[in-house]
Amino acid sequence: MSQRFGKLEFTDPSRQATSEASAGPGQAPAGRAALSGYGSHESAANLGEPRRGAQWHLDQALRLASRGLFEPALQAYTRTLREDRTRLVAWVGQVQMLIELGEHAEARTWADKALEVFRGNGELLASKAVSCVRMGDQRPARAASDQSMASAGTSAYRWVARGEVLLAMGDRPWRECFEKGLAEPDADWTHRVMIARACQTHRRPALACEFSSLATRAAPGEPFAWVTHARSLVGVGNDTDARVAIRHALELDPRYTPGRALLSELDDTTLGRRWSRRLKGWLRR
Amino acid sequence: MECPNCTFQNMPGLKSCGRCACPLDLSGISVDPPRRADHPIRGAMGDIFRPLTRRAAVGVARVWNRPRRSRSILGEIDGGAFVRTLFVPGWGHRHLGIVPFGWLATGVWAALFVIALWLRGSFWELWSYFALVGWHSFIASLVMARALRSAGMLSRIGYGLAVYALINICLYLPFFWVQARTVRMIELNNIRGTSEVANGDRLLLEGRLLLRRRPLERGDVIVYPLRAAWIGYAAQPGAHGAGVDRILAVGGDRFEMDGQGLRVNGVPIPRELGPLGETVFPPDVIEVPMGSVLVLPSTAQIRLAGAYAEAADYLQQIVRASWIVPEDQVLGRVLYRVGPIGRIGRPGYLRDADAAERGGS
Repeated sequence: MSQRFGKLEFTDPSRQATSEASAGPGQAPAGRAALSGYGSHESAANLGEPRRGAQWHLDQALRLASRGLFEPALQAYTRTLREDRTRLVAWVGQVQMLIELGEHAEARTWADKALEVFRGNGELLASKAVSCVRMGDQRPARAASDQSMASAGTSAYRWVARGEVLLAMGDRPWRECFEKGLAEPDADWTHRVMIARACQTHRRPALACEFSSLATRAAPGEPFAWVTHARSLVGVGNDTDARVAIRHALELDPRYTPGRALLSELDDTTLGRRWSRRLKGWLRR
Repeated sequence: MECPNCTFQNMPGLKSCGRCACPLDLSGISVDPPRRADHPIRGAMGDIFRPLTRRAAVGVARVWNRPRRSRSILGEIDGGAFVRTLFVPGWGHRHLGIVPFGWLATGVWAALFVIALWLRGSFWELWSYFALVGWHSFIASLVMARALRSAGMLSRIGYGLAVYALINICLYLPFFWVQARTVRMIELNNIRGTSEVANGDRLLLEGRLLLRRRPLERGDVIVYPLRAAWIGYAAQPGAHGAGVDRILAVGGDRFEMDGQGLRVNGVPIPRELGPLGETVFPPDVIEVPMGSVLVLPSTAQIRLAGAYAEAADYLQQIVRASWIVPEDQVLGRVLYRVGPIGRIGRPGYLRDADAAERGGS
């Protein structure tokens, strides 16, 4: 398993030199961006830089995660941990990225493993609760969420995870949990996006729209917020507004991959599927 | 050595934290997370079957792992929305913020309600009733759906039936019971049609509860039960066992019928206040008992079968059995003709009766 990320990195100096040499002066090498795993245009500015420390990788990971590029963010978190295994944020980030990538079983396994090191950590328990609830395992999810809330300290993510667990279980106070999460000092627009994505996962697109529009208002310059909003709008069958939101995201960053993917997904949708989605969305409002 | 978990300062050389027992040396721990693609079967097959199986797997897992008896389902139902839905389907949805669907539900319900009222007394009465109550129960169950999402199938069926029974017993059955006794409709079938009443006419009746406020009078057109039990097997009364005709005499009157016409207390009955159809009954004199009214079943189809067809005295017995109608058994007083479309309006016999009353006064 450890070899896989190794393959993606330029541990071989001769290969790195070849790659850099193939590019012209002041120009990023063609294969570097893709191979580095940091996204097509995210790491172009980092060429030729020396081996970075854990903090640098962590910053990269946080930045990539906030742009909705989960796979490169996961790799960045892993690199962070290679540099410094005591970085709790990176452990939590890994589990969160696995969840966002839809690998819930793996996320749960990884959360359990991280909890062996960071026992009773609230963030890890919260992420474990989310992975459990997305697998449909409600009782362990509730238990993990309870432990997370009981553990020392508080954070927006814990409340968001709590809200998601309650939302999936149909318990009424989920909205209060989300609101408490957003009222925490560390809450920012990413938590609104997180809530919107949770609502999308649990087939509550109208609710997702509510929170994603809050995210776009809080961070109008973030393409990820706009794409999340667009996805919520697609969920309720409002393709027209979704296209407007995607266009806004692509104006902010014309090469933003999730935005382009969603746009092409919308373009490829057949008429029947579009109407069935519209009907479903209308019924779920 | 600082513990990465609790930041407790441990003595150098310790392998685990003295406070939280967390391992202090993390150098041997793998930091590469497991990935789905690493799994030889799940990775490859998952890409093919995941889209199909994910929902099913999650659904099965949800059912399998649902918390049992850990919380009350009733406590999770939005009471305000549910009560609103019991009164007007869709109101509860609007209360919950689901406005377009709420209005749709209310609109469909209102249409079904009008149709059910319109079809009262016809062949489609029962079907329209089931459609109305079914729609109402469906909308009410939607309000409960979220709370019942984690409940078992038997619980869902039980709650659904309970809602159906609640709506039936507490709302629609009492409503239609009262409605049948205040203002109701009846469709005429299998009568001997005249210019005033014909098969297929739909009549609006003043029911029994309203009849108590205004007693029955001579000249009123009523719908009354044809006493099939008295008539016996020899006669085939009209459909629904009801007839429609005009009251000729009330309790205490002396009614006479002979070859010269019809008389009440010795006074001839004018044509406008006479029976709706032709009278072909044998001569007779009847003292109408108090609390009853007398009608001639002139529009009723009375056919005698077999040997009884020739027995005139038997016919007289049959007819007399249906003449006297106790007031508490009168089904209703005719107010209006509401169908078919071409015949909507106040029936002519009512206008005639009014004209006679005005002329008399």
